[in-house]
Amino acid sequence: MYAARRTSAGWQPSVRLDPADVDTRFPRVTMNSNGIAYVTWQALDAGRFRVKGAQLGPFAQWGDAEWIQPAGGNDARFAVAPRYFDEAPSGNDRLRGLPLYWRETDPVNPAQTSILRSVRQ
Amino acid sequence: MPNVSAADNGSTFRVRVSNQFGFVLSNVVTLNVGPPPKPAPSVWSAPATSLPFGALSELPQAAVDVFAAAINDNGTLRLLDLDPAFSYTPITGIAGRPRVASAGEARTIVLYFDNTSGSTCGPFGGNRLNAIVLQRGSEGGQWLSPSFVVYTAPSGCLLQVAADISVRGVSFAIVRGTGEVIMGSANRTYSPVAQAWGAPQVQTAPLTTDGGCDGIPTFSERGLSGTPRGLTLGSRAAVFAYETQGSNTCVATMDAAGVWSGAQVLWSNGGLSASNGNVVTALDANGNAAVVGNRPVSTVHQVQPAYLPAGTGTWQVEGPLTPAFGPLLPDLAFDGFGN
Repeated sequence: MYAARRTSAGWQPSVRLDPADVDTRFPRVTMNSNGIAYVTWQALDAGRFRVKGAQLGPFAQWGDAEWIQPAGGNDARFAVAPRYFDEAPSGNDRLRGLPLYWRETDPVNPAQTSILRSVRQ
Repeated sequence: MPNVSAADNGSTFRVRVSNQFGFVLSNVVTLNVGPPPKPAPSVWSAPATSLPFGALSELPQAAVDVFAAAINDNGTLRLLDLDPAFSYTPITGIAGRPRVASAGEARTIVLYFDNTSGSTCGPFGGNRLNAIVLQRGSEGGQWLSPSFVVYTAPSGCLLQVAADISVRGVSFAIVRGTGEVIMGSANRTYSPVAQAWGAPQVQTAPLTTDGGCDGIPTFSERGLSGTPRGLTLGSRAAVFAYETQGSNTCVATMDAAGVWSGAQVLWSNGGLSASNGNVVTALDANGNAAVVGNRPVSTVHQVQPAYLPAGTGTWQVEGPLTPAFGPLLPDLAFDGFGN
């Protein structure tokens, strides 16, 4: 998964968020007014797609990619988060209650799906 | 201890306790002022099930804080993770993908389509746009409006909708049988005193094009999953981009007065099936707009962005970004400074 950022100087070179990824899909990016962003996507792991993410923190530095969906779960489908999110009252650039929803399918019966939620705070 | 700064580090003091009989002094102590505590890094919570396994037909749309998500569950509008204090009866007979938008923590609006009798727009869309509103008072009181009709299309099907609560209310676009696109906006106000909604204020106009932007695909031609268009509404503007059947990617914008510009070609696709193309849009609070699309060129799919600086009226087609990638949809977001 790659991310590119546009500044007043134009588009900056793309950054690969996790070199370990071999197959990815469904990127979603959310950003606040201070430029703190969080990208989520799905990456193939042991034959199933799992939800992972990475944060663009202060000073425009990308953090390490991390798995959000635990290993051993069902196959992930689409994931969504709010396009924008609130900042903490103190303005310290922390993400406050950013909810992420994704859909999982039952590998035995793919017609059966469920919705799961994780909150970053 | 209030009003302590780093300059006080190393200062000494004693505490004096006195009454009518005299006083006592504590030992001398030294003040150590350390750096401010770092906030704990934010982390993801353990996943929790919002909706158990079932045969869902739609994807969730999430909003911040008050509502968590709204989904189309086989024609039923479900609101996930709603405050337990609410008594919400799921609404049946909806069509297409619901949309959710929040204005801070005070108000959240959920928009959904349905079909009046005789409409053939389902299941990916409808000919009527409806809304419900959740409002939260500063004292903590909460109120959920009954569902109300925002707009009924005189003909054709509602194509896409975006919401902004702070100023303009609801914006939407519809497509008619001939492929003509109608852009519009609607606003409806709520009176807490009367506890009633005012009449919707709706304005529509045909979306004029430069010829290369005719022929926007309908639901039946693309379906929901392949929707090749993006609509974003901000407090002072809106942007609508779409891919035509002729494989051009076009864009139109709405100004603060609610007037839509004519659609213009941003770029043309070529070499690969246009059905793989897609486009998303974004706006910031200052009126800067951006579009990014998956542009098939020769044998690859390029990530193609375009940028509209606020107040200029001139789109800048930039990039493409590298590397090229597979036929999947990129995503786009703004900060508060046009980045």
